[in-house]
Amino acid sequence: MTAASLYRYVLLRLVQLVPVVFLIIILNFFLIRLAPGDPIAYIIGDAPIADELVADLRSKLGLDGSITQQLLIYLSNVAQGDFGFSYVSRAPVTEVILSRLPATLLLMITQYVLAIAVGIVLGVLSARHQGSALDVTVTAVSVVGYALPVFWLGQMLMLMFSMKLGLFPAQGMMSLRYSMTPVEKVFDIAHHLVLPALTLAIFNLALIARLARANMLQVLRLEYIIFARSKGISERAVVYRHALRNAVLPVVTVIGLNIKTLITGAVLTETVFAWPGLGRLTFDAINARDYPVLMAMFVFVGILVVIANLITDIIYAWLDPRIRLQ
Amino acid sequence: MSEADLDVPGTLPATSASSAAAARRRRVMRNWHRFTMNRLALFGLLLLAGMIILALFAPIIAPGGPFGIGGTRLAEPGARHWFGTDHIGRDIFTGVLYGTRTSLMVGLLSVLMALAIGIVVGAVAGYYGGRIDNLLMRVTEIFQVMPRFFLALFVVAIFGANIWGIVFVIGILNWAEIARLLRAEFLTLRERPFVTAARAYGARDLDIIVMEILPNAISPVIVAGSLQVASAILLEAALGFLGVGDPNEMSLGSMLNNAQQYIRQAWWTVTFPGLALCLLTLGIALVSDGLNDSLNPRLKEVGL
Repeated sequence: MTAASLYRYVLLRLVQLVPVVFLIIILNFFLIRLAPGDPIAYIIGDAPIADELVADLRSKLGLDGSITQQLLIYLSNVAQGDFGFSYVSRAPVTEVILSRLPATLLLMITQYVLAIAVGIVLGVLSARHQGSALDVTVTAVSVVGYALPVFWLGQMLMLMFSMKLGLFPAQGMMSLRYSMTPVEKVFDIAHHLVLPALTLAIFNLALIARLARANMLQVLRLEYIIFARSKGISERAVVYRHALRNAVLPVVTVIGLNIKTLITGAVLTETVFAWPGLGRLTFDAINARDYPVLMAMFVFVGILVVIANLITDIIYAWLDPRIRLQ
Repeated sequence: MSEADLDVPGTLPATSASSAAAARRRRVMRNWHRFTMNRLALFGLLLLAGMIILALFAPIIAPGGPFGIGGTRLAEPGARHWFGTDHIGRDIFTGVLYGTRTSLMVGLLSVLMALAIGIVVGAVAGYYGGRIDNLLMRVTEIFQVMPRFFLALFVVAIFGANIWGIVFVIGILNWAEIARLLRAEFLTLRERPFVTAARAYGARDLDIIVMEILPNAISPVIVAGSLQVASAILLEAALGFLGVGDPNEMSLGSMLNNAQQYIRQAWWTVTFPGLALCLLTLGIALVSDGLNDSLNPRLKEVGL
């Protein structure tokens, strides 16, 4: 398959995504305007502001214009990355979101590495020893894992490992100590990271292990594996050199398509552990009725999901040329 | 070849109605048999049935209602309060009963709504194909890509939390999956001989869709729908946990939200509501797994 067809595929997918992003933004606009009450009241919040200032703000935001004019202003603001100001911190929303991004990324990447590594190992082992105690346990855990509310899992881990055993801090990302060497600081953050990352990892591990197991079982039946076995290659080599790669590839795409669940999980987990990322920001924004932040988060997550889907599709097309032809 | 492959779907007008009904009854019995063979699924069903009964009879078991203050605050579990009391002295066992009731109601009603929309859209798109299909599928895609949780959160935060609003939002967010599944089934079934035959007999489109294709296309929808009940329950709980649940309905999620501050002093406030939530979704997941195995037996072989 030529590179050109891959580029064409990517381009096609990109073009298809434009209306989705557009719609998310427009939906966002209309939701806030359908809301009961004056949009200006949402923007000012409880702040006591003189009537002239309100009128001034109204014309500045184009709220005295028609709904189409308002939509155009909103769209051009969003296109410039301008989501207004947070009621709570009074800082530009974009700035607030970007400042919280690193904490969330740290949590997500850590838990993914953990979940993927352990999940694939467990899945492959249980497929190799089908029906063994390990296999039954992995299957059971993956069913239970689906049913577990992630925030309750976090609360239980906190109760156990933080409250009862005192092994890990329950809240936050850093201790409130003033003097820490950089090395101490890294260890301190890692110490805080254990429980939230474990919570999310257990949640995702269940799905990954289940999929890795199913794929492995399927791949082990294919002709090239039978052929490899008939050549007299050791079972280990068959599993790890020939089957593993093909069995694990679909897992990648599932991870990509699951990004929505993951972000939801992150919001809930961050709320439990007061992890200062985007999830906690969302939670605080809800409690403070900080609408600009909420609106921006909705658009931000929407775009993130769309991009994740696109990347997943591209990886899939890259791995499997048949997709591009359709 | 499994048994299911031998099912020749469809009933020509020539076959008598009673033999068609008998065939259907046999199929249901066989699926039921397969389902009960699966011990995990049966366990899930019993678990679920138990919780449904407890939830239904909540007003009889706990006549005080979920918001009544029945004891000292943060009392430990004991004979008087099986699950202890919360931070303002409400009985947690009572809260769990009513919370389960709310969870089940939200789960079932929102999925019924998703099924109603999804089946109509999926059937129309899959049966007619062409431009209608194209248009409907574009709309469906948008709903699928939408970050559901954030949309639900956003809508509930703006419009205020109300249990019917939550049901509506979850329903609106779930129909797309149903529609896509059903459409795919319809696409493969609509050219089958039994459909062509029905058409040749002059059957109306609506009759073909409802009487001929739908019964043969519904299995994956039932499985997906049952799983959606679990995810709808978890979504409602998550909204409650973030503090945007309906304040007039007891919710397991908002109980866990309240408990968050008291984890250190009172483990029971956080343990029992979460356990109930877990058992509820576990029961549904097991039943759904069992349905999947008995309705789509071929999938079981590959371990999915």
